[in-house]
Amino acid sequence: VTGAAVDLLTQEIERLSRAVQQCRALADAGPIDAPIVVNLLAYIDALVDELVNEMGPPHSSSP
Amino acid sequence: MGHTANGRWEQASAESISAYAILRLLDTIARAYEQVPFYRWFYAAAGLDPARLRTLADVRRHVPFVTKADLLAFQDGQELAGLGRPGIRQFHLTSGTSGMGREIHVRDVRDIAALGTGGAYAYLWAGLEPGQRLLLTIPYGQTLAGPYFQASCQAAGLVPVNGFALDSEARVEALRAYRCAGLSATPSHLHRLTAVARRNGLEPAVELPSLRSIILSGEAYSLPWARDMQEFWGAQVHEGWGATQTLGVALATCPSGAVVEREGSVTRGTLHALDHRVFVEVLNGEGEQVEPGCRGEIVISTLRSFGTPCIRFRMGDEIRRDHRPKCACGMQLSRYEAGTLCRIDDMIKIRGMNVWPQAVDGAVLEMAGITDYRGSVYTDDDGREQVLLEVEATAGAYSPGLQDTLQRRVKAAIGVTPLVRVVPQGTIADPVGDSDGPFKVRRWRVRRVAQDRQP
Repeated sequence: VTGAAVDLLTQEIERLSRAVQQCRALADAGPIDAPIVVNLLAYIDALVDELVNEMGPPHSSSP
Repeated sequence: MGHTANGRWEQASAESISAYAILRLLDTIARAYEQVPFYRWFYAAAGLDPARLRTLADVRRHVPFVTKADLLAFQDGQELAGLGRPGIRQFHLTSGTSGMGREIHVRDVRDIAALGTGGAYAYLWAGLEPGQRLLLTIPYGQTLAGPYFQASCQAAGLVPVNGFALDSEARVEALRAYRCAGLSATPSHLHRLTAVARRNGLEPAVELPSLRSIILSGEAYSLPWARDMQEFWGAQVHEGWGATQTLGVALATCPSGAVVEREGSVTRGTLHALDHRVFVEVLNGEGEQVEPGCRGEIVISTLRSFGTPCIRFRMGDEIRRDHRPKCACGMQLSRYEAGTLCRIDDMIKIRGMNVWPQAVDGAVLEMAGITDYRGSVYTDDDGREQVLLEVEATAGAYSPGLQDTLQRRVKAAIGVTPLVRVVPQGTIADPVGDSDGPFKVRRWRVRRVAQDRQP
């Protein structure tokens, strides 16, 4: 995995952190029905799982 | 290694790949038992406690094989075969009609995220690059094929050209008009496209300069034929193998392609298994792994499939393990010989559809006054794959509309419209029996150009 890929992943994590903050702020303001957000989050979770499998097991420099 | 898809696995050692795959296999079995009703039922019936499995030897000793009949038996007792389970987002039917029924494979969001990854390996190893266009020719329906091809293009960064609804002439034109770099087709259909292109005087080297790879799937093919295709189209021939049960591609040829020419000799290329996604066993009749160079049945266990994982599933396909000590590409992913994959049972691939003769038996022989028939699949002079049924009818059964009725019934049963010739009773010779095993009528004959020329 190249440094560029790690940089991209870092950026995505930062974007997700900001999204989490927005979600918390919205949740504090009251419940909002947002199936689209829920479905997108499930897809992101599934994609991360797929990404981890393609990168091999954790705590290892090679698969 | 020329074209890379994921160096993490392409450069991994055989030991690390195997260790990872076995861990994933044990995890998959335990998870399936906990979460998938079929395995809860199937393993309970077999007396298997997945928590006691520790090694691959344990798996081979204790985990039973799953067959199509097992999945169908479970489906029969379930309302819509698990379609109502929470989290299901797609379902795919196995193609064709076996006479037994079609399996329903349900998919959750994790399956959808994983759907295209295997195919992306096939395309990227074939030398296709992000942004390039790939002509797809397999129909988009309720089978896995349509969503799989779209997802594979997305995972590889390719732009799909959806040629499903085009005829052969229009598909050849689409290759030119959209400057496609790749073509995905069955060997039979590639043969048809080649006949059309030759008839029209097409010179691929001049008119299709962008075409660099042809990816075959679905049927066996001979080495001389594949070499002819490579020469005519000026594109490297590759192969991918997968199925509904494997959630897409499980085996793909490496960058060396399906035809390898080196130092004056021509040999079959190498299919590599995506061992970190699908655990592949090639077994003999006793259920033991065959030696390199030998043929056996493919038994797969999916490691990246969640809605309907397939664990030790007998595919009914056989393949030859690669006899060579290593592949020139250097990858340590397990190896098989390209172009050697074929069916074990009497299923016939017709125009990309899986057809079991018993489905045609039902459509034809259940009509009053029909006494027997013979079927043949062949390549006509124009390169088209044709099905001819010679149907024997009593004098009383014959009517002017009989041919049309038979065509409609067979089309409804198998999805393919045959040519029908009605012949008088007594014309067709006695059926030919199977020489080994229970008596089984051999009504069918398959003569395809792509498979006729053996290496």
